[in-house]
Amino acid sequence: MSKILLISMREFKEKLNSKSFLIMTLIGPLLILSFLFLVFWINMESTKPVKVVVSDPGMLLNNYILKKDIPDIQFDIINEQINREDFQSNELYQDYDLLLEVNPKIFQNNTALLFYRKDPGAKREAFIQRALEKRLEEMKFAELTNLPYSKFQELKKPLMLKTANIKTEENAAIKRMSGWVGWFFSVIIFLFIFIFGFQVLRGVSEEKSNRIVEVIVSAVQPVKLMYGKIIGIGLAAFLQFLVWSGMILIGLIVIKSMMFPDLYDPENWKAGDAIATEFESISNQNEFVGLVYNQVNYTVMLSWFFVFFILGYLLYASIFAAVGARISRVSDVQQFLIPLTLPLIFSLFICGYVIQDPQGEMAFWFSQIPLTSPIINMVRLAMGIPVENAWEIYSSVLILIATFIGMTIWAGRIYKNNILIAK
Amino acid sequence: MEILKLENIYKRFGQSAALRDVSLSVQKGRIYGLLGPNGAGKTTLIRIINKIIQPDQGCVYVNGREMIQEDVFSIGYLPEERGLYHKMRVKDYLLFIGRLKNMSKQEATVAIADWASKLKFEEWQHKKIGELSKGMAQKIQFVATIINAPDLIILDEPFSGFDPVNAEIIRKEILLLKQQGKTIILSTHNMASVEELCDHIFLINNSEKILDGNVEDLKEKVEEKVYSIQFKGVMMAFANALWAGYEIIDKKDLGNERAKVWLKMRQGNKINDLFDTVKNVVEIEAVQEEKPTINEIFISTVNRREGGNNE
Repeated sequence: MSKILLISMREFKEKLNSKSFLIMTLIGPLLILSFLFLVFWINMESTKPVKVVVSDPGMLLNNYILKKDIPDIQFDIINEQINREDFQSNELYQDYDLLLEVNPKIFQNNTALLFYRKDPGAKREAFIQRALEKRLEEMKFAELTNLPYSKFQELKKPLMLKTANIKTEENAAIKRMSGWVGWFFSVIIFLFIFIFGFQVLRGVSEEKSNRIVEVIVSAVQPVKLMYGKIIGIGLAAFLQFLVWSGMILIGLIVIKSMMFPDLYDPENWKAGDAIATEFESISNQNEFVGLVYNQVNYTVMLSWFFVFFILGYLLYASIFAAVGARISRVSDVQQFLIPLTLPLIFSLFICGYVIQDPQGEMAFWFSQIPLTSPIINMVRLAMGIPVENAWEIYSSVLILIATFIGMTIWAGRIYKNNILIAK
Repeated sequence: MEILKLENIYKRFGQSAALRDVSLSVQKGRIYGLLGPNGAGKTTLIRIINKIIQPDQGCVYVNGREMIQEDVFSIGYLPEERGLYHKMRVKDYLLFIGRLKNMSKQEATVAIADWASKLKFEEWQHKKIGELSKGMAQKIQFVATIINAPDLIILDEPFSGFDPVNAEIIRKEILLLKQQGKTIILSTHNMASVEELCDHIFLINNSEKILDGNVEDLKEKVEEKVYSIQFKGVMMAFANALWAGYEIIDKKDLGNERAKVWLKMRQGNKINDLFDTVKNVVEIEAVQEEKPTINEIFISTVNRREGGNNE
């Protein structure tokens, strides 16, 4: 055991002293944080309120489109014809982002024109269209009947189909969204196995090609050398992940305090509620932010993440080590990487199906197969596993442990028989 | 005292036999030459002694009992194709190897300091191995082999790549180790080193041991002895006088009608017959029996064996 420790400590120190490890340790979380910041920023940009000047020379709208103000869009009605040139150059209209032309014959031609300085985006465009449509409908309804418009609204109310788990009453849409959080954790597992598994493969092959291996195996059994290598590189991977987690966590707190200081203030989320019942609120554009800060149960996810990350790494690293022992030239290493990680890549692809049906046959079987289970289980865990199916997670962990033990014995044999053969 | 004994070792790799019925006995405090052409099975034999690979049949004994895994720590092995961890610092590398060979950190540190002063690499201790010259790196490999003062030292081509100065340093160290009672097995193609250092040789060819003996005894046992004769006179006359009773192997013109000739006796002739044959033709200056070199023994034994096999 002490030999394995010695070898793993040497590997660990060598990784720690390598520039690429240090760079990756710092750059990795910065890249993820930059990506998150970008997504948040784009979200914020797209939710910036826009001002619309509505040209209504026929006074069809009776001076309003929305009864209540909403933070996202402000409509100002002008009962005059506004020329497009005026909108472009007249100082009076420079504060407005959009010009909505409501022509007096709109009930006949069913067409309004919307001019923009900067593309408002499809979601806002749809919102404006729906708002105008509703208002015109209301006006027409008042003209044709004596009934209050609210009666018509009651009649026309769309049917909502809410899907929920009978026992937990969990919302299926939110659950699916959480599945993508699991997928994000799966991607991290994949990345770490890919990067550090490759280092095991390369390290074994390098030791073999530069002939240090014969010096070492004259003092320690080949299998111990293999275990030491896998553990040492694994420790470096684990340390890197801890640094990543810490930096990302701190980064998220900093981003939150800078960009969303009142994220948990319900008022911020309910500003458009009145209209949200009538229209699809555009506030839900912030669902990604909510997902990152509210939906993820980091304690549960991180605990299981460590289990699947460690077991997945150990399983794949022993396969990589066995293959590395058979390769005599370091230049041949690259070509083995993709075939060896193919089960993981495949798992990432089928996660979409697992998210659609997390308790289905496919999700179950791929969560039990040890080469795919570290990826698939993170998605299933993020979506929540019913109590009666909890055994599936434990069985997949047991299968993974058993396969890892079997694999290391097999890999150790391959390693021992091939490490000194140079072809 | 027998420190190592190999008994009827067999090893196959797939269809080809690497070793066939090889037995050796190694006595404490002597230097052994393990010789053989490339591919003869020397490295396989060394790996079996180091327990890196297991024999298919046969047994290895250390100090009179069957070898166990722990015994490898009493063996220092310098492989022919030896690498280093180029990113490690010299001291860290030697410390790592020492610890792998069951030394405590303190023991290893003391040994490193001793060897650094002996082989003059004190100022290189904190450098990365990748920054060392080839000769310096080889010194480090040599020190790593013997850092734990093993009783049995196996050196596979220890002089390859060394410049003459460093080769001499290592040669002296090997002799010093012998004086300290260490046993050394030297696998090399450098016959001059074998001649100078070895007490005993094992010759392996085509997976079999074909020669095993004390260096001096082997030289004595050579069937066809070679004699050199130095004379003053005409070479043609000398050659004509010998006729069929002798076989000239080589000759050298020393100038001023002087020459040296190497020859073998034929038709049962003795040294006195040689004198009688040439004393009236040339003026004899010196005659002596030329002992064969290890190189000659190596080549003639291998050739004889292969000739026999071909027949």
